[in-house]
Amino acid sequence: MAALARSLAGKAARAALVVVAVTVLTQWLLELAPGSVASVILGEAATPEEVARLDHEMGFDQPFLERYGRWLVNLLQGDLGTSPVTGQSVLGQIVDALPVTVELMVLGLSFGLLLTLVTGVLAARNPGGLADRVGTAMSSIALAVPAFVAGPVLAYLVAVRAGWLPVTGWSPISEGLGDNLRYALLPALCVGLLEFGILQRLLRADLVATMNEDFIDSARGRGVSESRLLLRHALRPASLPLLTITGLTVGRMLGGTVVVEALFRTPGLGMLLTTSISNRDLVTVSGIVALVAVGYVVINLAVDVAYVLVDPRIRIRAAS
Amino acid sequence: MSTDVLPTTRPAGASAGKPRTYTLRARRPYGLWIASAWVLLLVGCAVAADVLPLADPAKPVGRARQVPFHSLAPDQILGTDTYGRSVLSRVIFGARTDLLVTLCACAFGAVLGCLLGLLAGFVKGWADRAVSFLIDTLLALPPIILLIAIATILRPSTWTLTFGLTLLTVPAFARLERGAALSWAERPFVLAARSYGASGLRIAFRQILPNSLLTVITFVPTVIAGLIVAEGSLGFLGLGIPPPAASWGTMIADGRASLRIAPHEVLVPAAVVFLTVLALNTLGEKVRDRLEIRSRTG
Repeated sequence: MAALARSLAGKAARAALVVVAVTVLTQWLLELAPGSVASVILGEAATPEEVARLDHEMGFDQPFLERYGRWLVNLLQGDLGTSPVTGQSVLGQIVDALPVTVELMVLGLSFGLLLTLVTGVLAARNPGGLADRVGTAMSSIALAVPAFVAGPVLAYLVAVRAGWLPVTGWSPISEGLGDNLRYALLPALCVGLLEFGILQRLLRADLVATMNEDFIDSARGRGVSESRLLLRHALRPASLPLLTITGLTVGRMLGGTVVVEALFRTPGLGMLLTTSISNRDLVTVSGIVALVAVGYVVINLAVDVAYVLVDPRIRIRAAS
Repeated sequence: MSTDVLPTTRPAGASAGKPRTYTLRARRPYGLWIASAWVLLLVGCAVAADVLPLADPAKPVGRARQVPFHSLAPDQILGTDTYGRSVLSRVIFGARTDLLVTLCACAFGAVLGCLLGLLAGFVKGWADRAVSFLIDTLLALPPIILLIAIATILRPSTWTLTFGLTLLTVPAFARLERGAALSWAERPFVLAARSYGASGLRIAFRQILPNSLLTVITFVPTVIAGLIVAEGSLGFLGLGIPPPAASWGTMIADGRASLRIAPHEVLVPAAVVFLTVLALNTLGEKVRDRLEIRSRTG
């Protein structure tokens, strides 16, 4: 157990180092930006004195390490600074936007996983058969449809042509679940499509490989039915790697939601990011980027730990 | 862990199904032929864009928002956009910018990534730890977010874009090359080379790198597909190659406004992106299947 604890501690230390490296990078990029942050905020008409004063107020005239140290201390106290453009707290804006993005990701992932389970199991029942080929073709198509293609095309087909769902906008969950889902469905579908493409291949390959194992043959010899073999003996162990990989896709999905939210005008984290970019609100942008990176590293670490804890084989390997 | 650039890598044992049906299908690789034909067509058009009888992609050729095939003149066969510009010529000139940027990024990333991977996989020890840390740091940011951060802070331009996309491919290539180098270094011929006194550098560059290159090359189409998606997403957000140059992502973004009245402005570039990414993914996958390369990148 001591070796296991040491390996987990090593992973945690590495993750902490990565977080420091990424936050240094994002804060340092602010320095690299053409013109100081203050001159960007004040615009072209500002006099050099005004720019220098605002730079001083925001602490941009101090050495980088000092500024980074203060930023880090503030971050640990839950303060990411105030947006110079909107005048709101950066963290407050993020907290407002995050639930919307999380909802899109959860909905999208549920859709992707559901479709994966159905097509994966059908494919593994008869590898190389019709269901397998259809499933593989579907995943190939899903992999070739990035969010910026899926979004406008789905919006055109479902919203504009058929008129079943609203094209853009948002209705918060507090104002009724039905309305909320009507707005969330299309964006979530776009986010989930790519995940389906990736997960389907993994599950299919895993199931097919497991169905060729000796223990499946021996269970078949004992008279276990095919569907029970597939669902209990193959799908149950296969669902574990599937879930951990799902945890790792959060980062990619976040990238997808940026595009999807910009397209459907969904007031989530991605929309906050794109509006901050067009306002050249670098303080908010760097806050979001830093927070996303930290969240991503923490999720990866959690997945690693969960994997070690759940799968006895890895636990033994880590301990020996 | 997986990156945006290499989402389709199959895990080991991916094609361990019943082999009979596969050998039957593998005899006539229609998928491979069609995919290669599309990629060749696209590359040919992009290279010969100046010679082909195409309209200037930045100038109007006729009335705005004409539907595809309303006229069979080459300028208007795919219709015109909101400003009356030829959609066909914008798609082809868009292919030119998109392919140029992604190919450059892929080449830079491959060279840099392979060197890093070789260092990590051959020297091991401290070099492996350092390279792994660099890769982890680059992968700690979701790809699109990394690109957005770079494009916002350094202002969108072709060079910024190429730089960002290069950064995106480095971890993928470094991991591939690291894995390949680790396994090739175990082979007896490396031991043989060592025994006749070859230096470490010579073994790395003359024995291990050439052998592992095949694996890396088979992933190039897949990486380029990922880069086209990333470039398109960025263009879609208005952070790609600045106008008036045409690119697929910006064409789709611009066409959104007239989705109701002239959907072809979105559907044509969307179809081209779809077919290109599908073709590149298929190409990489089929070639890897044929060469029996099953590499885990995650």
